[in-house]
Amino acid sequence: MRRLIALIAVLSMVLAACGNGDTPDEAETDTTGAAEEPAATTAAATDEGGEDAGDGGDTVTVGMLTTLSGNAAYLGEDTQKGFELALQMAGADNIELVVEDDAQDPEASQQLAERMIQRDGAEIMTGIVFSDVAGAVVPEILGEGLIYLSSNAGPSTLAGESCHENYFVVSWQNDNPAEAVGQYVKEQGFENVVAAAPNYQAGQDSVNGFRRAFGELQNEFYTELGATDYAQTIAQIRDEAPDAVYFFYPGGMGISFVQQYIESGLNENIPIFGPTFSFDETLVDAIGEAAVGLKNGSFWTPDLDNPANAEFVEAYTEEFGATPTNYSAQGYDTGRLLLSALEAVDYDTGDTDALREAIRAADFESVRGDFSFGTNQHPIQDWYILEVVPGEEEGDYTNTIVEKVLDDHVDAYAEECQLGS
Amino acid sequence: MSRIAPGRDGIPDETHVERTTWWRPLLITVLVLVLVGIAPFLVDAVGLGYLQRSLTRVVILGLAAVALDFIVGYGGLVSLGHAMFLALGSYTTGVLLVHLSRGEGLATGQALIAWPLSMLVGALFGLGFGVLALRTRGVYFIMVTLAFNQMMFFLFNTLEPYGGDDGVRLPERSRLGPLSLEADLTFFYVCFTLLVLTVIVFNILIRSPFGWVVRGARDNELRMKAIGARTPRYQLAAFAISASFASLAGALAVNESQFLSPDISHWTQSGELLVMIIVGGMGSLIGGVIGAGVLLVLEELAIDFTNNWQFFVGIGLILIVLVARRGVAGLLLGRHRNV
Amino acid sequence: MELFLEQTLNGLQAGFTLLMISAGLTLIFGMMGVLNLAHGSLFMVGAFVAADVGARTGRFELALLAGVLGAALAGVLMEVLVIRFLYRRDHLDQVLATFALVLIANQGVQMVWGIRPRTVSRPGWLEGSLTVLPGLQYPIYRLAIIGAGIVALLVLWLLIEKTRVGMWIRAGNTNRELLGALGVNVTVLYTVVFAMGAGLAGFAGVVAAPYLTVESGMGDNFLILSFVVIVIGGIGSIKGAVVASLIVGLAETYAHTYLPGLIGELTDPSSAAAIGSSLASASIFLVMVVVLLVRPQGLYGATTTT
Repeated sequence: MRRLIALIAVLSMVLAACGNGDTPDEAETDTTGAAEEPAATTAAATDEGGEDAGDGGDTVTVGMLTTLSGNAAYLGEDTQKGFELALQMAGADNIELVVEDDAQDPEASQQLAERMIQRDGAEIMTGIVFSDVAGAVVPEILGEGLIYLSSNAGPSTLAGESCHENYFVVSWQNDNPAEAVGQYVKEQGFENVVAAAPNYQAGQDSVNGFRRAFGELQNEFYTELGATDYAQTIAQIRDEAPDAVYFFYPGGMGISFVQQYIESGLNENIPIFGPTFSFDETLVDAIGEAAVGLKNGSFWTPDLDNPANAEFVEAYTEEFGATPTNYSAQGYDTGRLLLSALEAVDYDTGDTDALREAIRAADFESVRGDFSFGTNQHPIQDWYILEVVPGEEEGDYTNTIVEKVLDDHVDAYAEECQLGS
Repeated sequence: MSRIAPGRDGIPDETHVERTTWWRPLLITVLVLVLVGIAPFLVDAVGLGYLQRSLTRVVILGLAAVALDFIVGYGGLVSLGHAMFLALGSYTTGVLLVHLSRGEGLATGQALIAWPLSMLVGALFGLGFGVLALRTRGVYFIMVTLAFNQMMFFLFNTLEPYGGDDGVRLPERSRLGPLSLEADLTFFYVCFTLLVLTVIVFNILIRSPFGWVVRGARDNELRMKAIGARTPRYQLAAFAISASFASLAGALAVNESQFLSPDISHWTQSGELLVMIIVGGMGSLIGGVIGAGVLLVLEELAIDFTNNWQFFVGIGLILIVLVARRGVAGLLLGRHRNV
Repeated sequence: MELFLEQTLNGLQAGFTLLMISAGLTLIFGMMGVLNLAHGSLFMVGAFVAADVGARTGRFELALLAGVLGAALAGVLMEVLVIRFLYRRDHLDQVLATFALVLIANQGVQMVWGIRPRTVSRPGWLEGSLTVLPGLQYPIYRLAIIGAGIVALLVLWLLIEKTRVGMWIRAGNTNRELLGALGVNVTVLYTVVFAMGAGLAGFAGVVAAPYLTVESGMGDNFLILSFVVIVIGGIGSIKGAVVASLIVGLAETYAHTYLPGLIGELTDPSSAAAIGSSLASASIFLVMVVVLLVRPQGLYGATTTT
């Protein structure tokens, strides 16, 4: 008797596992960040999977793996909002978007990507925010023969020799924002500069980018990724007594760093400069009054003067009731680029070569004005120095352009890439 | 703190079970292994092919859990640091593969070299940490292994040439002799074969005089010492053997994910291995495999229904600990025997 | 010299934060024999409750009070629903059940407060910096954390040494059977002590929160550090916890400050900075290893509790 029960128990374990999965349709594609999900969502229950897709003229399934939890959740949410807004404004109802939260976990993200490709039938992937996740997942996606459009991360490791014909970066190469700031800080006549960044790929890329444009640094400090108590780093900066500080702390880390730096009183004598990632519209609101006057480097601001941008900012503000961040703009541009390419091939994703060519043509109106791909399929674009200013409403802050520092800037790794030749 | 007393806490009294129903644990073990062995075809048949790689992870973590069960279930040494041995195996095999892809010296993609080497590294670190950790007992041992685990976690984070805390992607898997492991199904069966071997090895170990001393030390260290057994040496050896097999699992895991990352040494991974043992049934060896299967497969399936999977795992775990201490294997093996 | 002083203050601040967590953990272990992995979760719960109340009321004082009470309440729930049944179990059961509590708490705060991280603002009257020495300004709030740690320690000491409850605690620490003989309601006493430890952890969570991101899992690293503290200090010894907390806090801060420079002698500054910062995190475990080799029972521990 007992033997029988044992057998049944083991079998039922397996059957239970199988039974659940027989009906994947019941499972709504979960965006995890459901509470914040924009109204414009096109994410829906997956259909029969990817077997039938890709035959041309069909619904195209796009997989978006992005960060929707943790202290960087808004980066992914804004990317998703921008992307969906682009689809919505174009009235594209034959694109199906599957969204998953990568939770900033490279290894789990590999599994998620695999699921999206194999089970949900994703034909094109996009959305990854963090470079460490991209470093793990992008090669896997490319290995499956899919095209990946990066809406944010542009790690150096994938930009040079390891560039890939199916890998496009719509945002920027990681070093670019830092190069813009480095150029500006040099032009302003600062000599002794120290850098502070989290200890991970993008942090090191950023410091390297700054150094490339600026020259040798007096010292550099790395902190644990995600750590938000900067007392020790600030003490070291005080000890070094530099002319200026370059820092790279994206997302919530940026709020903490700027607040604590100001609290320490160091800002009275030693100005800080950073890329836009610590000064996007969400962060400057959180930092508040203290942020006013701080300068940062970016490829875009809400007040950048061109028709595509004006249309985007207006539609976004109306739809979501908030000023778009650079992540929204990147998501939007990624969506627009993808749409332009899919139109060109008549939604036939079966012919990867044709689709790739259509993407490379970059035949769309970017919110940043001029936009084209370099040989390594990273953007060639202009870079600006921005300054934080009070917004229209009390307690609202935004960025405005101070000057253009880099014109039609090509990243440093393009020449190592053999794609164009 | 008294040492764990025999039987009182639900650790199955092996001799008792053996005497009355010697065939039952064996039957369950064979049954579970057969099920795991045919699982890739089962999931494929019902259109769940994407679970394939999860099954490979079940096998790999199951292997680690079997190794951990040996010292926890039979040795009474609760290690909350086995994730570091997983990581040691991952890094040994992974670094050799990274070198290979970069054309640097000290490289091999040959599993027949890399995997045994991983086990050796795991065993050596097991000896080193074991000597220190075994200076303590009970709750101290738990905390010390956890602390070592965290230390190694930080150290793996410093390995900048191998991606630091970002980790690094491996372009290819190890090769087993002339056999390529790139095909997921091939790789599954290689892992599965190693799992079967591991289960056999530990089953032999627990029935050997060596295993008898290790169990005896769990139940009553003083008595074992009184009859002349040098229990600390046996416990140290058991710890190192367990570490070594956990490192083998790590070597397989890095091949599975093709991603070398310090995350595998995070302390919660150690905790999850313990959870697998307790869910599957502690002190039964095969319980680790059952636990790995239940946890990983359920999680994969639950993702579609709830984001709060961990919450329910937590509640289930508490219930198991408080009520059904012997886990799934315990239910399969028969009535709880209070001795 | 200013750098050394400033980092000493930073180390003390880290040490006192750690002490507020470890003191409760070691007290609970010493008395009830339960190793509570979920103690770090109480730290987290305190911070979350404070973030919530702080956002609603805009008052740090209310947030602090709510955080301490919230953590204490969570502690009582934990004790009554789960931990009470573990007193007579072995350590493995304790580890597993309290590990389960960690999973539940980490997910639970997300279910209640969402996935977005939160912040706790410093009270207005503690903002800004104080010139401690010429050329060295130090944030007032960080000084306040050190002060709060000292006050918490004094209160704890008075409670244990001078009150009746404290007498029972001391009695329970050495001989549990004695308590029953004294006619003390042991069940209630355990719950009260557990609530105290939880409240203290919650207090630490709120106080430290302005410099941390209030998010799921924020207590995990503090938990492991407080294990190191307890191993160094000796289980059940408050005195040991005090000394060990300060050793750990200072050692980590100094290592972070000076290790990258030392390593810089060997390799290029960029990787030295990166390697140094990770090695510094590992350095405190080295302290633990040394203590284990020399005095396995900890600095102030009784003979090994085997």
